Amino acid sequence: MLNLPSYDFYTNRSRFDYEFQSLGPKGIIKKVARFDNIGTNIYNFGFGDVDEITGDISDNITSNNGDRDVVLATVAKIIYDFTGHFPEAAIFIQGTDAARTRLYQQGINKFWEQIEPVFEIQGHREGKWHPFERGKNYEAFLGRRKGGFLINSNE
Amino acid sequence: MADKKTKKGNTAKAGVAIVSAKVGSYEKHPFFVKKKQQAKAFLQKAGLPPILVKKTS
Repeated sequence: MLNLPSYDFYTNRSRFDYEFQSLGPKGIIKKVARFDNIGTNIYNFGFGDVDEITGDISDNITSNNGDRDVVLATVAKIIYDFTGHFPEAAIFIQGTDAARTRLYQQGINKFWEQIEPVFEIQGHREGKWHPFERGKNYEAFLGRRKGGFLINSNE
Repeated sequence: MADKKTKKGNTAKAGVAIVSAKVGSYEKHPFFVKKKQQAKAFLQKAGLPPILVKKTS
């Protein structure tokens, strides 16, 4: 999947935490991603830039490091890697704000031909979940590998 | 962070992470704690997509 230029990315043994470095005109920017369990087989995907001096992480800044597509491809590969190890996992993605959520949406749109055969993605819009469709705006996304286990609910 | 220098344009190992002891746990970092809480709150309000849910009762 995603035979596109990307950065090498690193993880620890838990495979919940990932790191890579963005290289561009603004120098080296450390990026971190983490999958947090928020329910049975549901994981929140968080992603941001690390301030190496303060240790702060932010996802509301625009890096402008000239490598947006490479970063997006790397993020996609991180999700692919995580779900390869946890194939039952459903991944919840929502940006800090509408602009950041749109950026994730642009990534899904851009790589849709390669994502669609592997993942089923639902988008939340107007108070409901819908199968993801290109060209529509969503507030959040929930995706999992096709053929993955269903999430148990006793509601 | 990394055991080897990060390279731009790598396509050789698509979708394969390099396991490194230098990658720490961000579980308790305030950024991810907040994101986790926000995600839980969203899903409590929005519910789960029916297509992903198997009713057990």
